[in-house]
Amino acid sequence: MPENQEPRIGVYVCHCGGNISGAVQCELIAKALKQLPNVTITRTDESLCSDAGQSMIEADIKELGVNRVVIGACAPMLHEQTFRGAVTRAGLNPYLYQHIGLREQDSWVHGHDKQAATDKALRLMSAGVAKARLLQPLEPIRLGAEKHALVIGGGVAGLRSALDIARQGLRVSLVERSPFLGGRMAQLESVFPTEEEARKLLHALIEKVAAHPDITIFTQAEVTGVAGYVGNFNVHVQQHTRGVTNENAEALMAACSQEVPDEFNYGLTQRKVIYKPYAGCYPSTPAVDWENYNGEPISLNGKQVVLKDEPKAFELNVGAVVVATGFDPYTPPQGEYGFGELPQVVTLPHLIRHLALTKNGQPLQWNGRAIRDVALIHCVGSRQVEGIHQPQADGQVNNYCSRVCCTATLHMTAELHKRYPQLNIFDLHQDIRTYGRGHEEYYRRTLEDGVRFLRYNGEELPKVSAAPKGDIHPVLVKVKDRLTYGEEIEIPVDLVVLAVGFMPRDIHGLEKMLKVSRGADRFLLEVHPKLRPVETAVNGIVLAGTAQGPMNIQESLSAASAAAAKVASLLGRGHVELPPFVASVDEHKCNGTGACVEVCLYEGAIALQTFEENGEQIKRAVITPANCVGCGACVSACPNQAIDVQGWTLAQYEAMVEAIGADMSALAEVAS
Amino acid sequence: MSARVDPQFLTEIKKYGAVNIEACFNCGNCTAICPLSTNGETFPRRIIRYAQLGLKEPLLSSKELWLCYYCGECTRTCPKQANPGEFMAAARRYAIASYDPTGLAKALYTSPILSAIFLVLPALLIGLGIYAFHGPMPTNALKLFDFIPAGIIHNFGVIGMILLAVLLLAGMVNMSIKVKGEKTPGVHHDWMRALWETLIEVLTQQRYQQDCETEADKPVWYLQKWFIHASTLWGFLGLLVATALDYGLEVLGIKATGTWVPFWNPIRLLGTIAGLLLVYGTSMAFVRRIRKSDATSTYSTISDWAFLILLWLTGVSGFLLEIALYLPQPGIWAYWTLLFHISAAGELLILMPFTKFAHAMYRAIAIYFHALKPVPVAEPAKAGAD
Repeated sequence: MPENQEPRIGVYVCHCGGNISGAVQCELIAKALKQLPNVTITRTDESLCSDAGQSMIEADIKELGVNRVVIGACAPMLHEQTFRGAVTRAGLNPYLYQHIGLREQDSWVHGHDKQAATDKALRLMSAGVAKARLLQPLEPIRLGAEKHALVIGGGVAGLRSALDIARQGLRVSLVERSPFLGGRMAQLESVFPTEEEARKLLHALIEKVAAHPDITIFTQAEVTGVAGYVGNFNVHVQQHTRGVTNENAEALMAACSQEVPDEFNYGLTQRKVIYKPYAGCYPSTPAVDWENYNGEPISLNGKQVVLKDEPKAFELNVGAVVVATGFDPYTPPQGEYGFGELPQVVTLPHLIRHLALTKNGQPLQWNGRAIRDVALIHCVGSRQVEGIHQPQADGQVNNYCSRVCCTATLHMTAELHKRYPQLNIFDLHQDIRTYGRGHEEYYRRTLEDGVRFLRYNGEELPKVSAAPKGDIHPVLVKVKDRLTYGEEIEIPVDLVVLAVGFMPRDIHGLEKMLKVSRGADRFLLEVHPKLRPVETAVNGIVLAGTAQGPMNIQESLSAASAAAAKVASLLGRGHVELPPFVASVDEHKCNGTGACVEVCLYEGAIALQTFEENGEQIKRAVITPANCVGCGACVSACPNQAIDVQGWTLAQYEAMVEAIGADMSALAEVAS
Repeated sequence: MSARVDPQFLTEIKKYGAVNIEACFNCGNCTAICPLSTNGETFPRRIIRYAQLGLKEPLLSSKELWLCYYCGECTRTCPKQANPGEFMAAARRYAIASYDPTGLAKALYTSPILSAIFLVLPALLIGLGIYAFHGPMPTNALKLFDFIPAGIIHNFGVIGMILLAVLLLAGMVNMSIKVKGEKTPGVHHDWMRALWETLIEVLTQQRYQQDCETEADKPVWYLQKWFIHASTLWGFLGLLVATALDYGLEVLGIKATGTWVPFWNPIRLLGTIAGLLLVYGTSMAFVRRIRKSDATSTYSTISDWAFLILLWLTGVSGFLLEIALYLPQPGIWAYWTLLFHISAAGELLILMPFTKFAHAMYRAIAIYFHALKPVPVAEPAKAGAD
């Protein structure tokens, strides 16, 4: 094996098309490093990542017997994997390769001082060479993976994810807390920008999910515990009883007399405690609302039936988890824009349901009063300003934009105008952010429909108050309109509609069970918005839809499909490969102090185990590589220097530090 | 103080024109491009905004409405094709209707039937009324005032003028009250200077000439909108002065009005030049409107046409009379032309408070109040300053 032989190091300095060579004298570096022991060949190239550049490296490995490769190029984030691939193709272990970031770390930041840039490059590269001498072949950590994914949440994102994963040949368990699938989208009527019916679109998806043989749906079910790691999560689920059977369901529902406010219509109507949210829901069997059922017997065919919830707990072994838990619409506190105080102040979701309950051709009424003038206020619960808005329960204000409400509001005004052309509509906004394809069209159209747009300043909010007695309108909205040069405008209206934003959902400690984190906005957080936009910091746990932040349906679906693709590529081969850069314990040096276990931040990554050796009980630290992130905390805590992070050992660090601090003048002189 | 919205107002003002103004999304390009909207002025955008929200009072009390000469730059620049220039014209029509206490202006602008009646009837009445007193039509020499005695014209004129003055005054007062705004105690305004500036602007139209003719492909001077407008104005004023002077000579007993004088007579010369200017200006304006030469001449209301046609007819018939005076053999037609001329001129004056003609008065008032600046208070000498 070449890796066991004396190191023969190949050193390559990339010009990066002038990005590096513009500041660093690459030829001089190559010449200087040629002097170092074990360096077999040094080369420069205009663009090493090109096919020609890679082939050159492969040829050197094969023909010159190079068995360690050091490349100075762009950031490792960009091309480390590219060059590992080249090394592997030439038959070398991919970890006998060291990448030095000469561009981001040197030429881009020191372009003004070429001498210093070259000096820094020389030091970084010679450190790379020093480390390369000590590189050992490594194997990626390979874990068996369940070809089975858990999707939490049966809204449109969860449904899309489940279907996409199942179509990749994996099994899916879909866990939904409520008794019915569909989530928030089921509460919508027509949706922008296509004006199709929300529930029709939704049910096309639900039908496919329900019919798919590899998807198991659990409604009225919740995740109660999560253990394990990527490829091997053990998930505890608790599922409530549906409470009725297919045979007696309809009869029981008819016989039931207890009613509660219907949350599907935001309390605008009442429903029974044995219920279906809407005609055509899935599953079509009614369910018992256990939270509200008062336990009283229901008389059915002369028999008194008492319904009982007997929750059953079970476990699922899954390789990955998709979190599609959705959002809650913001509920304004009492008094915000008169909400909860004036009966004429409602939220946009309320109005959507109210319009759905108002038959075509029926006049628009609210609270028994015909509506002729209506004002819609944007950004309620979004883009809040500290010191201006009442903080949320956790003391924070929602300073984010909820993104969906602008188009949703204009979509509503277009709908109102279409159904009630005589209506006077006033739109109070800070900005109109109709950013999606076809969304601006709603702005253009409503403008031409005669909707009056007024623009308020986020720090001087509109005021909503009851109109003085004698006014023919019940409510007055006052706004300092920036479009009228800050003049205060008074709008008498019959109805005020608050375009409420997205609130991160309270998911009952689920994020703690999954160990995923929330962003500053309290929505679940991805690893990186551009590089890994749907993955969480926990391997194997991905996000889909509005659990991650405000999104419209289209964006939720994109995110859900992306999450599914991540899950499929992770579990598709039946095993998971993780980078080998994790802690490893030298069993000869470890004497079981446990200092490493104390400092470790990652659950299940390191533990003391008792071994029997020569009849003696010995304690030693044992690493579970799947849970270790290679942070190195244990390395520094160990008094015996018994732990190393593979690929970044203490010996390698020492050699690098030595090389960086060395006197370079002799090297540089020879080269020049 | 907050202003209350009136959602019906836009429908109201659209009766006066305001083509497509609902498309406006308040970007402000119109104000940015407007050569007259400078030094903190914010029209047309502000006025459009008032109309969109139905803030009637601020709209009617805005002088800016009348500072606009409708060069059409804003309409060319508008990204929404909301036609702000045409809106300003419509808003002025609405303002003329609002300042007029009789409601006639409104009817003329919004009802074609009433307009037709009102346009034909007064001229007919004047013509018939004067004809009732007519005398002979001598053919040996042109004796115009044998046919229609000057006294009759004079009496009709005086009655008309008094009526006109009352109506004009009502409109002026209505407008001035709204436009002048709140008086700040202790601040004195330089009204002399404002009057002077108004006079200069009205007579020279220099802001129109200097600022509004900004197109890159500016036509030769005599085809510029500014010149067409100014020549109409100068022609009208010149004829008014010449007529008054000619009548003045009769009052002084020097000569009978409307009789032959040599061509070089200064009053005759003034009348001739003014007549040429008036006919030139109105003809050109007429052609522009028929051809719809640009945005500013695309939309014409009945009132626009009526004003223009009356001016043109008055001018042309006046000219025919002048030619008749110098012909060796006068025709019978000259007498009929006189009757026609008097009817047209009478109609023109009577309609003044109700038609586009009223802009001459309201613009002057607006320019005056716009020019009215507080007299700077002399700063007391600082003690200890050397």
